[in-house]
Amino acid sequence: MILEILIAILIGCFTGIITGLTPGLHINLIAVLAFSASPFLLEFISPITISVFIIAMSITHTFLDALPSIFLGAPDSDQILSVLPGHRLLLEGRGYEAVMLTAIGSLAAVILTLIITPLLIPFVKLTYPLIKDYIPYILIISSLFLISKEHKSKLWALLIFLLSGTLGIAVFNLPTLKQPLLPLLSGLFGISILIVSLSEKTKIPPQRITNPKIEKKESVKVLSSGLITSSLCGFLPGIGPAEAAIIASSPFKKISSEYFLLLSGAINTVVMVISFIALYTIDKARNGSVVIISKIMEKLTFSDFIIFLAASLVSAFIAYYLTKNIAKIFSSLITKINYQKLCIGIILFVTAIVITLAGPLGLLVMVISTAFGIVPSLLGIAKNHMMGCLIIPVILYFLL
Amino acid sequence: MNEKRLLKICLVTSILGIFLLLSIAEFSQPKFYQINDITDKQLDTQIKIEGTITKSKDLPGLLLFDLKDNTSKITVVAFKDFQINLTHGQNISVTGKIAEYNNVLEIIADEITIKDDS
Repeated sequence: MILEILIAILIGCFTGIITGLTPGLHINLIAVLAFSASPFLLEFISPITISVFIIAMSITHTFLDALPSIFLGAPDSDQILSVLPGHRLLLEGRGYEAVMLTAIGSLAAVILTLIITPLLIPFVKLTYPLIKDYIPYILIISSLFLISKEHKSKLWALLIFLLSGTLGIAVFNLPTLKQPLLPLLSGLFGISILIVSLSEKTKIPPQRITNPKIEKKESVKVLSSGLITSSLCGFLPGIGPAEAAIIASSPFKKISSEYFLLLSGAINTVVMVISFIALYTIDKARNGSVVIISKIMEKLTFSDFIIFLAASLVSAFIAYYLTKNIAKIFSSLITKINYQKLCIGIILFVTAIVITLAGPLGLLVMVISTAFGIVPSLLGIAKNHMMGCLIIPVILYFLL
Repeated sequence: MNEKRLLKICLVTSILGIFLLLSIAEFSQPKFYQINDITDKQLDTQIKIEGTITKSKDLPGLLLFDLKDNTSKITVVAFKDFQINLTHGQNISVTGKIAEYNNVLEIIADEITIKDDS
């Protein structure tokens, strides 16, 4: 059994490398494939082994997805906020440092989350019934708070939020569209950023392999804020790591690129770990991977939960080591490859995935989402307001 | 291309595109299926079926019932409170998404209409 679980962790980490490094290839897709293959797999292995595979993949993904976000400017929706500070360091030749900041944040946050899990379980159990009926109002208040934090133009931020919500409502109501999230999120957060990068003709300077210099006291402050916010946001539907990162950074008057990367890395991973805790304590699945785990595991016992946490910790250490080494390879390769051709290649690859899995209607959704995704970049507005595409349909689901 | 022009093109494309998608969502009807013809190819897509309620189970916040037509039967899951009384033997039409639970296909109801009260 232990050997089976260790093999599942290793295969999960390997799959997490592929999903993390490939823009547009989401862990949900692999989790769905694992679920489709589960009738066959369950003849040979236990449900917990498949779940551990999904956990290892999901945790590794949250470490590795910083690489395309920082080096290629092609983030997934959870990493949208790390693009700008990450890109800033990349253009200073410090791309490796930027990636390592997110990895340190992720690893430290996993360890801290596991330490406070005995407190988190009763906290989630007590808090959730109290706030359950107020979820849509909490989402509305959080969204308005995020819009109010927009420096450039609050009106445009509100318009972007409302329009993306309308886009989300339209897409989720298309009766024949399979995998609606894939073309929607690939267009809004993936291809649109690549097109903007292409038009800017970015030239990447030679990269240095230097370890980040961070102060212990400031790091503890940033990580604590990230941990508290993730604990509050992790079990709310529609509030993802990007939104949690803005809320967590709000107590700081000014946060440098370095500490923001540390914070966003921490939150990205913690939200994933908290979603496992939410599944165990309140039986709610807050992301695609956890939905699949809840379907595979008929009943989640305390010992299963402990195995999940142990798998998360082991995967986090493996993922940290992988990120460190793959970031070094990226740093040496990024100046040798043709960035423009690479962007075009990724756009074609994601388009092919969308056509295969979501068909012509999916392609139409992707084109419209891409056009819309370019708008905030041109206006200089934060892209996280486009998460309205998920938040507004969730609010309406609860209210109507 | 200058940024202002690109911004205008993207804004117009996205607003027209959103309206186009809303129109498609509003006017495209889910495809009608005989229950026997439903396979995992229809997973995650919205379809319409008609049949008779043969077995039902009332759970907190959830209604489960079997719907039978002249080809086969399927389990219907109604998560939200539908403001209609459903009884054994009723002919109804169900619009919803095909999902898989424990390797069996089922339909998650979005809309239920009573065809007659026979």
